[in-house]
Amino acid sequence: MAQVGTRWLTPLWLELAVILVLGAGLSVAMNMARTEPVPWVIDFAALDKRDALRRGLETIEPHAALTMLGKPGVVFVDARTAEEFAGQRVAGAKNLPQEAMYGDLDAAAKSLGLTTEDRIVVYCGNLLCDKSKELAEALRTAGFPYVTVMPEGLDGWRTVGGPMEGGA
Amino acid sequence: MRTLGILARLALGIIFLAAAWDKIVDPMAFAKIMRNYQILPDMAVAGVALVLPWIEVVVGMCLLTGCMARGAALSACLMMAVFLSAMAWAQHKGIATQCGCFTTKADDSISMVTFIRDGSIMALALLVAVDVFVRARRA
Repeated sequence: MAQVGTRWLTPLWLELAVILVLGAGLSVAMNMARTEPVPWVIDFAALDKRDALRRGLETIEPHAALTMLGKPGVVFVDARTAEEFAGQRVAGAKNLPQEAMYGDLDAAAKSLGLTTEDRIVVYCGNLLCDKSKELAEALRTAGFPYVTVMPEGLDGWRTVGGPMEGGA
Repeated sequence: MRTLGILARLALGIIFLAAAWDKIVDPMAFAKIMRNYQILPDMAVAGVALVLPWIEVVVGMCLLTGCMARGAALSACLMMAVFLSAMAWAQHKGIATQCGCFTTKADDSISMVTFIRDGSIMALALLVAVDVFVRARRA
């Protein structure tokens, strides 16, 4: 403890340490008090996979999807809006906004030249968006059997250096 | 001047408490937002997502009560610097993600508005820090 004039002043490092320890302690205690405690280490890749499996979907990681780009019968489908698609997108991707699933999805997909033989890789913006999973689920229901989701989306694609096209 | 300093400290405390609420209610959503920043390794994301909001709570309470005000003000400055840096990094990398600042809902994407808002909070935190440190030195 340092003394300044006549008043005791707690050392700054001690204040910082107390704040840190209190915060950590409270988080541990409150997490234990939850009806379903959140795990301290989350396997996000497995989480995405489980989510997709629940929907009956296959998933693919960006680096694996990269090896499929340009192969015959492989079509990348962007589930975002036309405005988002007009910005950056996977090179050669086709835009089938997720909203299309509320209309005649079969006709919308076929108007893009998609066939039931195609291996369709659906993506959206990033891990937080569900549009790709929802659209992929709808495409499967509409009779397209070979649908795969890239949950990491365009952000994941960018991270692995996948070719892009479109505006900034 | 003293009143202004106290008001600024109270306002900052309330801001920190408000910012912590949604993250405590839905830590999984906050963890997903943090992961989307692509800064931390996956294995560290959940731990930080669980602890960070409670540190915000402690900092907020300290600022409100004036207890350990220097540590709280310095922590607030450091946290705001980290948050702003993370947002700038995401912008630089072209990562379109949510801010995760005050809400875990999908309506808080990183934008100029979030930069101005967090920049203002950073300025307020610096003001409070200067005030409490000067006051402590004079005491």
